[in-house]
Amino acid sequence: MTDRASLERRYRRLLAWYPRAFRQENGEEILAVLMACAPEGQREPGLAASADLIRSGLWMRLRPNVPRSARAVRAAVRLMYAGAAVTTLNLIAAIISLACTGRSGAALRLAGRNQPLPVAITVGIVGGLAEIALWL
Amino acid sequence: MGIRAMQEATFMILTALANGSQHGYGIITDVQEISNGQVRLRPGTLYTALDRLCADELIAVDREEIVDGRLRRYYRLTPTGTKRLSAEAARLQAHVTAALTRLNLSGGMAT
Repeated sequence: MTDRASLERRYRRLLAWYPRAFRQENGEEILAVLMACAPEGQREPGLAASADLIRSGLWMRLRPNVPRSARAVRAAVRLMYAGAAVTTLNLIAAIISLACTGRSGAALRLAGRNQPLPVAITVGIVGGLAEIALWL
Repeated sequence: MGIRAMQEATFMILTALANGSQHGYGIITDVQEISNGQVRLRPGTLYTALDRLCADELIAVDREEIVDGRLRRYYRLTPTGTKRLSAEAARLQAHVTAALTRLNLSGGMAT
């Protein structure tokens, strides 16, 4: 494989950080710019360029582009973020309490009690992760 | 609500488009030239900005060309973009003038 082809393949892989719709619309164009910016003989993307692509791609996923004029839509997006923040906090709380019960679990087991709590927390974590995955 | 200051990258992109449409790579090299090599836009940053500027209708796609089998999309300023850029340029100029005036004044007093 030539240097250029190998570089292009690596850039293409980095573009996967962008949302699919954006990639379909702008992927080839960004790739053309990336290749134009790369000096002859470069085989792999630089660290800074890679970080920039990942950061931009994630930013685009997290920040749906809504024009400033569409206030209602922007408000809806903000609400969605608030919801996501609550879910994330929930998730963190669940993980912490799971870790705590895990530690004290041995003592509880010795006492011969049933533990439906960790199961509920696990379900909560899986549910939370699924929600985040769906939302992304 | 006050006017929000424009990010430097945005300002430079709009400036690059002020005297005609350009494609992505053209904007990067032009911005580098305008800023004496100080502002180097990375492709990721550039396209995040272009996407937002298109959504805000400050720029628009002018035309598309295929060069060496690769897509080249040219962007141009919209009338709103022109207005926004000139407002921002005037705002910055006022700040620069104020800074230079005060520096000259204090410089005069110090000597």
